Amino acid sequence: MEGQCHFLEGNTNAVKKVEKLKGLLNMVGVDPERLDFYHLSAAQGPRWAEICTEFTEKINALGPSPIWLALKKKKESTEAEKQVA
Amino acid sequence: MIVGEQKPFDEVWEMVKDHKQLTVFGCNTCVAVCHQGGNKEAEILASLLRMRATQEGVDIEIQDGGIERQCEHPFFESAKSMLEESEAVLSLACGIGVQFVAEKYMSMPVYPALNTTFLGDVQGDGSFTEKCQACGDCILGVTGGICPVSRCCKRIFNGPCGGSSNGKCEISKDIDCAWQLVVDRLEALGKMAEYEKLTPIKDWSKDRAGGPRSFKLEGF
Repeated sequence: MEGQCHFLEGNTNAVKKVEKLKGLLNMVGVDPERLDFYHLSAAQGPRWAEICTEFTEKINALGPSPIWLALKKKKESTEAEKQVA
Repeated sequence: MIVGEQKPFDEVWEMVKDHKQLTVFGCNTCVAVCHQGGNKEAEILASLLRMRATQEGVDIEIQDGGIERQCEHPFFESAKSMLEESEAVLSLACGIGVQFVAEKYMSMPVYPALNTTFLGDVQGDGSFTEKCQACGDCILGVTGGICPVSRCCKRIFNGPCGGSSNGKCEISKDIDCAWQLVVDRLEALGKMAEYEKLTPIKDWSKDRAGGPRSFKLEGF
């Protein structure tokens, strides 16, 4: 939990790093909502399951990432080129 | 240490996007301390460039790596084969490291990922301030350990000037008046008599006036 990390400031540093990463993702056109951070203790299994469900629903609602779409497009055009050849 | 700041991502992308292969190369000493140019930052920047390349449909193979210092020959041994096989290098070192790589690999393009900003200290996490301009003729011994060359906006030697107000510089309220700091420090040291002495005209020939500087140790 926040302020109770085994590595002292580990989880508060992680929060800052995730914020920084969100900015970097945004810079390359990836919605920063695709990344998140939660404070949890090892004894919160049910809450972890809830978070996973909620996050999966959020990602489903956002749809495929632009990276995935770009890779799919590249794959399709490579296959089309092969067929022509 | 040398402080650097990553260039805007778009500027970096424009420099490298026309290559078919690129090595993003970190320097794990000074610029790693300011979280801008270390091997870890090279890895992150390489990932971002791959993401941009994928989205723009640009076919470029990007690898990442790094060494402890890009300004000394011996450190390059571990990265020799990686660099020799590269079409181009994006260096996350300071300007010294970028030039060093360029000199070592004459036929390979080398691009700077950082703007080298200043010689400074680490005030706290993520906070860096300029403290030295490598003027080549240090006078810290008579200014109470405060450098007027790097910390006074006007670089004057007999300050403060009329722009000093409440310990701040007229340039910005966020900048301390270097000469106020000098006076405070000399007072604390009981050396205000030093302040009354006029500083002779500085010998700027030891700064950049004589062109690029160098020196060699005898016996090496």
